[in-house]
Amino acid sequence: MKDFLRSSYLIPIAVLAVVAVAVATGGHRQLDEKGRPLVVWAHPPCPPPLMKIYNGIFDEFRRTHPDINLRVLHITGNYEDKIKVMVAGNVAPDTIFMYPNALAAWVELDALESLDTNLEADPNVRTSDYFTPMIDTFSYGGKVYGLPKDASAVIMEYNVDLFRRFDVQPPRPDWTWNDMLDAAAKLTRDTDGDGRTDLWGMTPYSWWIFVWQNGGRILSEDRSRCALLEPRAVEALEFWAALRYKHGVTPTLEAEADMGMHQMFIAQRVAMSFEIYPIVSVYRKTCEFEWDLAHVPAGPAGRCTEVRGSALAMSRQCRNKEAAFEFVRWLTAAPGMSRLLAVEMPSWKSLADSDAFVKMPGLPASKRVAVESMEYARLPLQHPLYNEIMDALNPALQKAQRGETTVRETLDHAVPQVNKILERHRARN
Amino acid sequence: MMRHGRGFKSVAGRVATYVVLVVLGLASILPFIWLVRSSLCSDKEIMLPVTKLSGIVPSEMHPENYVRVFQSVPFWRYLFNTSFIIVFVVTGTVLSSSLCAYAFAFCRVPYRNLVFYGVLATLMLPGVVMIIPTFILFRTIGWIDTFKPLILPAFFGQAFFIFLFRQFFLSLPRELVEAARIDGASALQIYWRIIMPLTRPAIVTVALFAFTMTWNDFMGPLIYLNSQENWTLQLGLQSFQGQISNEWSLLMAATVITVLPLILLFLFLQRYFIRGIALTGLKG
Amino acid sequence: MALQERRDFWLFLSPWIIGFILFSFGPILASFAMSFTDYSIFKSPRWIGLGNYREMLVDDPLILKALWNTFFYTFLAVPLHTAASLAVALLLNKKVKGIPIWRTFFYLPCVVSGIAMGVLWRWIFNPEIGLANTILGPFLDILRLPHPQWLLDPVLAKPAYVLMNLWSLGGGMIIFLAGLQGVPEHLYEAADIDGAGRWAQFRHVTFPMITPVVFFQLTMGLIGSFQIFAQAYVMSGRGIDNSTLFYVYYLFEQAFRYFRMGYASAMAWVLFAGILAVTVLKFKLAKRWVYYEGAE
Repeated sequence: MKDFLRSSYLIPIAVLAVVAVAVATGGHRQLDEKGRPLVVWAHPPCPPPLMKIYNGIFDEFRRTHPDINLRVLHITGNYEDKIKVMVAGNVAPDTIFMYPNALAAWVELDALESLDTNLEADPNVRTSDYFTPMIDTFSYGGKVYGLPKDASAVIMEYNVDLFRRFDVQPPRPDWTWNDMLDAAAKLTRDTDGDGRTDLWGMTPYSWWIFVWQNGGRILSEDRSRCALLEPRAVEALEFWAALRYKHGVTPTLEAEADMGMHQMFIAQRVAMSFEIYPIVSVYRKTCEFEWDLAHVPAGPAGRCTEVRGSALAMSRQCRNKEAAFEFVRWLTAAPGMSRLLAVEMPSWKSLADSDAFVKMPGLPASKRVAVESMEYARLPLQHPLYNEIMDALNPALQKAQRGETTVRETLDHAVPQVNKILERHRARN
Repeated sequence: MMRHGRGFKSVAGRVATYVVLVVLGLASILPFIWLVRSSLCSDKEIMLPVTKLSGIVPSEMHPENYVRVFQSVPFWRYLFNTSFIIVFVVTGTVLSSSLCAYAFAFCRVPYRNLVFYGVLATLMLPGVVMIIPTFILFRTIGWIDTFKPLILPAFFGQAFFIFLFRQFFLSLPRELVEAARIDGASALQIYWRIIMPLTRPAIVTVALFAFTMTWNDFMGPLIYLNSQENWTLQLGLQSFQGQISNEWSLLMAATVITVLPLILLFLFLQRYFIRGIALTGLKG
Repeated sequence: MALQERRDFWLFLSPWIIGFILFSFGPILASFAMSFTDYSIFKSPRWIGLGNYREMLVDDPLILKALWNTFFYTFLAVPLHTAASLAVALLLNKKVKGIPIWRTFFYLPCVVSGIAMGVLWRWIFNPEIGLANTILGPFLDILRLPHPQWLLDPVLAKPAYVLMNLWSLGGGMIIFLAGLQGVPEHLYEAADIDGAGRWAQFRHVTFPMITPVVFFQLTMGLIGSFQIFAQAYVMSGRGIDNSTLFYVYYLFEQAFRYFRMGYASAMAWVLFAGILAVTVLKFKLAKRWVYYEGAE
């Protein structure tokens, strides 16, 4: 034995022993020490005051469900990317926060569990309890993958004080593109006389909403190619780009890099911003002026906006599916959402359309606008390669927005790239 | 230790040299001054451009920025995680690399140098070629979101540290080893009882380098550590920046926190850093 | 006895060997195999032969952009960094007082790396209120030139990275100092006797004697620069117009953002082959200009 301890053979053995110890320790558990199913919920990036509210909600869940062990993970940074890495690493959380654009990619990765069977089995919930556009947004291939949590669409917030000060007509429900452009132009000024514009009329909303409002589409009906080179789309994009490079009613890119879009609204450097409903809790706290909500203007082909909002989905790697579904259902229905009314609009119809939400005290005065926007809200583009498609289009269109090239020219480069991405996707499936 | 360099040819030469050195030295240090200054500024003052030299010192000091950083983000946890990883990595590195270096310094084998150059050649492998299969390997074992993928490789010796140890070993007197061999000691005993106790300077140097590299490692933790409670300081800092991209004073305070331990370490143990770096260059 | 030594040699080396197989050799082979597949890690891999490589060459304009960005950065940063650290080492190689202080000043930046360095320099390069423009501003205003936008300007973004890289010339400086100290005095004396001036002495005595060090610095610098990642991740991402899309960053995106492991593996192998080729080329060229004492 003593001889052995002097032998050099000890070295590789020691190394392998270290490896063995490392392999032996570890492993995931299904049930916790008390035998309760563990449900891991990955909470997206969230400012501290909001987190407090959520913690209250989680505590309520734990109180009403003593037989489920809810564990909350706090994710910061790019939520989607982080969760994807966790799924790839086989350590996915049980329930995931879902954005509309992300759904298709997740489904295709085979990472989500369809909720249809759970929905059928549970008497407490029906899909008709939620706003239809929201349920549709979180369905793919005919199956429901997410229960919608907050319902929101892109709507307008405008600075009532600025409109009054410069004597501009406030937005009306029948506003068109040109009405908006007119008002924005009147509200783009140099307010401190230093020769540089420091107030802009509006921040631009997503270019594809412009495209839709003009009757165009991003992808063709059969989703086989990019439809942005069609006349309606090009026209819409030219209007969108001209807002910056021609009319100058939207902030420059440098100003934007300095302060984010909604920071500019708070600092009264833009008069109209286009954000989703949840921004109201930020504005309520930080805006030192009167502001309100309005509908987005109608384009030549009618009024529409994009559904955003969010949902809770269940991952395939979930080990306790019933418990996880119960959490998802509870959070998206009245018990969970009623504490969030000050912050967002629930997708649970009966709660959203009630006085509890619409007649809540505090700005904005026109909360109804949010409820009404559900009527003309459209599903966002759902494609598994959404990120790649946008990565190909956004920089190209930003070039046009800066006036460095025309919309047509930049699309001539970008659309074939998108088509290649679509082609590659079709070839692989 | 340092031989005298070349003398100056003229007074003008001497003055010019010092002037250049001062300017460059200042350029080197200025970012640090800026860093500290920014970390002590108030949120409002940091957004103001600095127009006079006196503007470098903030008009009001706000050391509570540091407190705010610790309140917003669990930096203590990150510090703990980083330290935990480092302890294991340094231990593993020192042990395994010195063992391998022993082979190259004291085992009389004809092809010894050939193998050594082979090991050195692996320094030129771009690490990025290996990350994907390694990730898949660790995923299969279920080690994702643990510290193990970051710690384990340290126990297998790394070419750079093997090189450093070998250089040092070669400078030790041979007679010690010979005498021990005659006394019947095994290689392992010679290594442990005789060589290692004499190797303290090299151990410190290797430990320092391993410490620094692990402290600054980003891609590894980025790939392997998912849950926030497992994050290292680098991940924490990067994510903090994502959260508050324009609150520069807080961000700079967080940066100071991330950087300070290394700076202190360097200031107190400069000798070992310098010696280690100088050694690497004398390979030829 | 020889047998015993041999055994000891391999046994003492075993940690490295096992590690090499597990974490280097194995993965390299696996990566090679993976580069011929379409593998998204969520589904099983699918063999597609040279599909990934073909896509890299033909279908992916960003690959060329990434290669260009990386080359541009490397071939600007590495020579500059080497020259600068050599220059400072030469300055310090005279009988300068207080060398330890200078060494501290110049080496300190090297301790800051990765993310912290990126965060700090992103702040330094802020076009309105960062350190860079605070210093340059007054001069540019006199000349009526616009303030550089640094990372926001597609043309200046990479030079900004080069500038940041120069900040950490301390490491190279110390290596060169050590090398310079190794130049035998008698050579300088001989040159003095021959009447050679300062510059001639540098060209004919100093530089040839330190060419091995220069070579070493250039090689390691090259390999390091090609893999720039953390700073880009935190400072500018892809950059305006993809101007700071570096190769390894793009690879990382392909692997861990888009989950195209096969494609990323192909990218990794191309990088590997490229570095290998450049290194071999350097070694061959080295025979021409690197001088080893006693190699006459």
